[in-house]
Amino acid sequence: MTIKKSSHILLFGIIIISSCYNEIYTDNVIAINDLSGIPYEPEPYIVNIPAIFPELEVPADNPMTKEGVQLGRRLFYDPILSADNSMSCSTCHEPDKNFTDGFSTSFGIDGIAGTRSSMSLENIGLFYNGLFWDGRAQTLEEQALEPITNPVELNNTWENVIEKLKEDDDYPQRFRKAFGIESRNEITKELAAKAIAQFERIIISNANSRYDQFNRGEIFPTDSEYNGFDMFFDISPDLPDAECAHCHGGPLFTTNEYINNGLDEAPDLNDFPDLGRGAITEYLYDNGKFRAPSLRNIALTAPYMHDGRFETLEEVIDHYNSGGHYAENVDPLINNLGLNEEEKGDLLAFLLTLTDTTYLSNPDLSNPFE
Amino acid sequence: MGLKEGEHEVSMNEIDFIDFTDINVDMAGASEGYTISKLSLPVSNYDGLTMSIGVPSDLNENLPSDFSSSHPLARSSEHWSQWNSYIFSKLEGKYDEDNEPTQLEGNYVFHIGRDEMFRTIELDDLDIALKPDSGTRITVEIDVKNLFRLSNGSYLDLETQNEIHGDESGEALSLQISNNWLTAISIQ
Repeated sequence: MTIKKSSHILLFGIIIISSCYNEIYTDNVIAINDLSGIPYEPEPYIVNIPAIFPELEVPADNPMTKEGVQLGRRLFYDPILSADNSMSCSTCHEPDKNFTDGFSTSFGIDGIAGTRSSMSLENIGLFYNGLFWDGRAQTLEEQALEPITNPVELNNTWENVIEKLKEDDDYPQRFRKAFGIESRNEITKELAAKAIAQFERIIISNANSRYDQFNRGEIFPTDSEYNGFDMFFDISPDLPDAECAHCHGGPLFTTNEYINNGLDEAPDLNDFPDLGRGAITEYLYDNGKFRAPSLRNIALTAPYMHDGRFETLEEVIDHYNSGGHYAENVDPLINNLGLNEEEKGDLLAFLLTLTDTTYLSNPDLSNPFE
Repeated sequence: MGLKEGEHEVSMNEIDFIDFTDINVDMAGASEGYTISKLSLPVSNYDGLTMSIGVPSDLNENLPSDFSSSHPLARSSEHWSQWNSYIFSKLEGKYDEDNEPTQLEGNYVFHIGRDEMFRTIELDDLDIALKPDSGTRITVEIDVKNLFRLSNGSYLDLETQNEIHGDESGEALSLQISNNWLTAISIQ
C-alpha cells in the first residue's frame, strides 16, 4: 500500500511539472533548479539577406535559432542588464533612430556622458574588420559583453547580471530553450552575449531605399539626387569627385576601414584628443582613426562622427569639402573638394535617398516589453 | 601565387589580400615586411615562382557580395563599381610639397583596376626546396620606387600627377604602373 501511494504521488508530481513546463511557468516550478524537463528543440532562424548584401557569417558555436534570437531580443530591450534596472541596450540603440540614440555622446546610468557617439546597429552582422568606433571587438559575441560593465554605459557587473537572470521567473527557461542548459546555474555571460549577438544578426535592412530602387531601375532619381550619386561614386568627369565611395562604397555604404578623416589637427600623431583605433592597436599611425560607418539611413543617425560633433549632414559635407585638418596620417583622399552650394545640395539629396526604415517593421526587432 | 617545377605549377592560393598600410611607413616596418604562410604544399624542388597582381578575369566578374565577409574578395573597399572591377593595387601616400620638413602637404592616390591591368610576374631559375616537416622561407622584395617609374626612365612628378582620373591620361598611367610591377618584384 505504501509503495502504491508513493508512486501515485510521484506520478501526480510529474504531471504537474510537465504541464507547467509546457508553456506556463509558475513560481514553484521555476524555483526548481533543474531545467532538463523543458524541451530543448531549437529551430533554425532564417535571416533574410538582400541579394546585394554579403553573406551573413555565423560562428559555428552560435548558430541562429528562433529561441536564441528571441532570448537575445528580450535581453537587448531589458533594463535588467543595467546596475539600477534603468537602461537597456536599446536605450542607446533605439530602433526609431536607426538603433542610435540621438546624442553626441551616449549617457550611462549615472548620467555620465561617454566619449563616443552611439553607432547604428543596422546590418552590423554583415560587418567585418572589428566593431565599435575603434574596432576593439572582433565579433558580436565579444562586443556584447562590454557595455554591461562599462562605467559610462550600464555600469553593472556580469556577476550581478547573471544572478538577476538566474533568479528571474522567465529567463532560465529561455536559456534552456535557446542553449540547452540543464540548470539555471549554467547561465553565463557568454550565453547571454551569444543570444544578444543572434538578435543583432537579424538587424538587416531591406535594401529598398530610393537609392536601391533607382539602382535597380525601378524609379528615376531627381536631377539633384542623380548629380549627388554621380559625385558620390565619381561617375562622370563633368562633376567633381566627392571621394565618398572610397570609404562608404559597396552595398552597405561602408568599407569597414579605419580612417583619419581630418577632424582634428594633430602636428604630432600623439596629439589627438581621442586616439581611436591607435589606442587599440598601439600603432602610432592608427592614432586618430575611426571606423567608417555605414551611410544607410544616415539621415536618421544625427549627430555625426565618433564624437557627434556635427549636428547635421550639411555640416558633415562642409567638413569634407574643406579638406579637413592636417595630420600626417589623414587619409590622402581627404582633400579640398571644391563643391559649390548647388553641388553640396546635390550630395545631400543623394544621402537622403539612403533612407529606408521598412526593415523596422520586422516584428522580431520590436521591443517585447511594449 | 604559385610555385613552378618545370612546366608544372602548384597554386599556393587562389587569392590573397596584402595590406602594407601598417608596416610600410618606416624602414623598420618595410624590412619586417608582410608574411604569408602556406601550409601543406607538395614537397618538391621548385625552380620558379609566379605572382599575379590583381584579380583574374573569371574572379573579377564577381561582386564583394558574392563572398562571405572574411573572404579577400568580400572587401567592398577593394571593388570599384564604376569599373565593374576589383581594385588590383592601391598606391596611396603623402609627399613633401614645400621642402619644409614639418608637414607632408601633398597627397597621392593611384588606384589600378580592370582586366587589362592584370599582370603576372614569373621569377625563374630559382632553387626552392620544400622538405617534409620543415618550413621554407621565400623573401619577395618590392622596390616601391620602381612603381613610380615612367617609360622614359624618369620618375613620376607627384606635384603634377597625383591621382588617376577616368580619362586617357589616367589610362596611360594605370598601364605604366601595372607594367612597373613586373620589374618592381624580385626574390631576395
